[in-house]
Amino acid sequence: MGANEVMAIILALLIIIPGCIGAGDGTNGDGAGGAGDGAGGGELITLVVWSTFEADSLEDEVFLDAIATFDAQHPSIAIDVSNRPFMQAADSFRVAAQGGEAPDLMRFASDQLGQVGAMRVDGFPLLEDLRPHLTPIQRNIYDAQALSSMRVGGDLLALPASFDCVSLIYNADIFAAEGVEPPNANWSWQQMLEAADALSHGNQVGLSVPLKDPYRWLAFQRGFGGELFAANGVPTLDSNGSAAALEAWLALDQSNGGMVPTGTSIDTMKNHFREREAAMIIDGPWNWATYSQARINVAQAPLPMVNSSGERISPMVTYKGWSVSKQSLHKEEAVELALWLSSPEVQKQFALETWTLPTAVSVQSDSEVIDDPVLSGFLGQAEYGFPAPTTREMSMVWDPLSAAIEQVYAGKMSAEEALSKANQQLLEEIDG
Amino acid sequence: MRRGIPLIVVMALVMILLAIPVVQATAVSKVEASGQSSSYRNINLTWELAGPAVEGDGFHIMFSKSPFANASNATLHSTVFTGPTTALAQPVLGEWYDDCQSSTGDGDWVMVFRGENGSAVVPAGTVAIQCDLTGMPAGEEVFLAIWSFDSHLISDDLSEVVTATSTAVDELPPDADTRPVWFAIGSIALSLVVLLAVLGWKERTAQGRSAMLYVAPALMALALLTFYPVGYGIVLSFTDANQSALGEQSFNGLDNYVEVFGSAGFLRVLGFTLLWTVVNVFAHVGIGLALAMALQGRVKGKVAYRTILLLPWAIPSYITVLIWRGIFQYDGLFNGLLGTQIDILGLPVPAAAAVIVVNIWLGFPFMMMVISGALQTIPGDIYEAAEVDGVSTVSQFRHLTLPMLKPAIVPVALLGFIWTFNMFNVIYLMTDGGPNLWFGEPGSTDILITYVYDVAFRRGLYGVAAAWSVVIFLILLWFSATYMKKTNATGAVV
Repeated sequence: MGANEVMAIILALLIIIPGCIGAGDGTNGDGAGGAGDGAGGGELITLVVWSTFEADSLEDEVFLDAIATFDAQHPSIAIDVSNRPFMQAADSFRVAAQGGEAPDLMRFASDQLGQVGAMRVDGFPLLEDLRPHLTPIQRNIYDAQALSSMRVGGDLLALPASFDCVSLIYNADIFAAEGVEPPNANWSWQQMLEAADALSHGNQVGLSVPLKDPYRWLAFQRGFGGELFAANGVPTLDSNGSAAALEAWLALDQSNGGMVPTGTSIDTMKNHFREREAAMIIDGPWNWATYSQARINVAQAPLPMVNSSGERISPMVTYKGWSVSKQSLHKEEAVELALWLSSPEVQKQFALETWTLPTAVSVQSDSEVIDDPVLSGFLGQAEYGFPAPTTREMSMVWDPLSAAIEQVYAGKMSAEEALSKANQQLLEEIDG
Repeated sequence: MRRGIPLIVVMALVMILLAIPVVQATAVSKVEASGQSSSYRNINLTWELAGPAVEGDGFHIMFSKSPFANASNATLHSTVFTGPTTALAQPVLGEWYDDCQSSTGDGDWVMVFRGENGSAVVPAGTVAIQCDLTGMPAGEEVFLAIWSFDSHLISDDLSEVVTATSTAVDELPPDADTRPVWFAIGSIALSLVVLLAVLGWKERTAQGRSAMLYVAPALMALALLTFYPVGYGIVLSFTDANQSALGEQSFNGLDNYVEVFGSAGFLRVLGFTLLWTVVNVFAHVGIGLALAMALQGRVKGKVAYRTILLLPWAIPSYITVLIWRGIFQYDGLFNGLLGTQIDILGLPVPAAAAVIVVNIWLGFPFMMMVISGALQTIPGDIYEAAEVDGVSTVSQFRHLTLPMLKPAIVPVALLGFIWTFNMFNVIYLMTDGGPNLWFGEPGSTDILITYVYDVAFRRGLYGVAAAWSVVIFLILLWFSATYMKKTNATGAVV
């Protein structure tokens, strides 16, 4: 046998042998989860955390500070943090968990928890029920609605660390310069449109909103008397007032004779406002820092009332909290970290530095928080809002609703027909 | 007068103090703790009172991982109050795993009532209370005591301190059973080894046998990385696998294929996939050929041109796609330059045109380079001979260049067809398949591969997505086989 043949055999063995070593009986691995090394006997424990804060943002900075504080207080715990884009994070977690590689900790929104909470791998859920881990005193840190929004089928799947909703954000300088009365809590939708019309000229628009964004439209649906789900959980996308809400919403588009620039997406809305080309937008507190950094005189007011229905435009309130993977090998430590990241201390820091709305009762009533006009403004807006249902059905709403908006926008269906079809599609998907 | 005022105040205070009845919290006579609960991180604590509790009595449950003699060295777990219970509700058993029960000494244990903030309330007359304590450290000794207080929230002494260890262990999901996977891969590998051994044994020459040995590692890698996943995908396509219950799937016959072929959007998405692929491949080859020809002769700055033309290919495609997305936004460069007001990415036909344009931009440099390389191999003297014979430039291109390029263009076009057919990132990043005008169907710019992603990772229907993938595989297999047969595409390499 020549040298070439020997080399070929060695190469083949190099490929085959590692596979054979890994084959085993399937139970020899290092256990489920990506939690890292085993612990016990004073060994260093590694907790893997997936953060969904935008990299290098203010939130990310505060989050990393909180991690560093925990790290310093717990020398036996190492924390491995990595960023995941918020929109893809739930999918990434699901895929990782299904492969036995879930991180120990991850931040989820209440409208994602319903779907993730319903998933099973070999009969096991993906997330740990945190109820057995908390003392009643720890549980009472959070306001009841926040805690309830983290529950799926009774299980507590996350510790609520923040919540948010959209509100009316405006450039106070534009209003002042043009002598238009700025928004106030008693504004009607009609008054808002009149002000927007007065402020629309040249490159400047009075109002910029992403009209194809179903999340923002849901606030409008409420304002016209419609609702997303009935009290018994059945979808009611086509409920009373919903069609009128969709028609009025899309009528805002310039191509329909409205004042909102055609094709406005979330990014273009942000750009309009940042470039001082929009007087008003509908956005959340998460972008406040971006606008402040652009040296805009940002102000906020509650979304207005709709005259025809007598209802206020009511945004969906979404809670975000820290979940622990069912696969985590270090649940006690992971829960301790989750408790820290959602503790009143960290929540207050987030609130004051990034305008993140707190879920801790003590922080909500803290004088520094109450005295902050942005925080108190958004806390006031949230009181007019409705909590996002923490159900599997909630995560299924977006696709049919987007299709309905597209249909009406393209003029292919009436709002009534499109919403009826969307509701029918949603019902079919729920039934599987 | 000035001396009388303090005296009156003192007298009033004494009267007030005398008027307050002296109440002491009912003492705790016995405390017992057990960690034998079946619940993780749970300890059962029972305490008996020296007499019936009176309204206003309260009991703080204190715990610590180390011994403690006073409450300030322990952590408050929860509090049980004594008071009227008529307006309060009893929680559902197990609602929070911290159930408490009380007894008035008649032998019955009654669920405690809960106040607004969830705090436990027991009626006056209670003589014993037991609580399941959540949030206890698992597998570690915990020290527990009751710190009682009276109606004025004046705390009494601590009860005796008892210990317990929560013994229930954390229930972890089992490790994934990878044995079937390894068995399948092993079987495929073994089959290949046997096949190679048989072929090697049949091979008469030593050179032939060596060839088998050389091929073996590549075949093993193929078995691991290609044959097994394809085989697994085919198996999965006959199951009801979905994200809600992975690992519990069962065979459902041809149901998934019926769903695929019965899908209202099947023909539409197939049609757009073919349009997308054909237009792109023709454009890639056409533009690539034109540019390669243009740079073939004596062109000044040829290297610089080639480098510039390679840029779309050299820049990471996601960056290029995101730039194009910005250009095609309503207020983007495209509308700005042309003075138009077209919602390109928001309307079906313009969006489809936009994604095709972007993919053409990304794909032509590769074709240009391949064809440029092939052009170098054509001997110059045949063109000289053609010129001497008076053959026109067009005829030279048609009868000399194209036939000489065919061995390079045909296989690379096949490759381009397969790549484009399965090109995911352009559509995903540009339009995400939208605008989506249909309910539960592919969007206007979805091609088969992007729609499969939606089915698998958004709707979580793994079995149905596998069936779509098998259909894609069969389409490509049929096309490749037919194309190779008709064009002898791999003739040059076989």
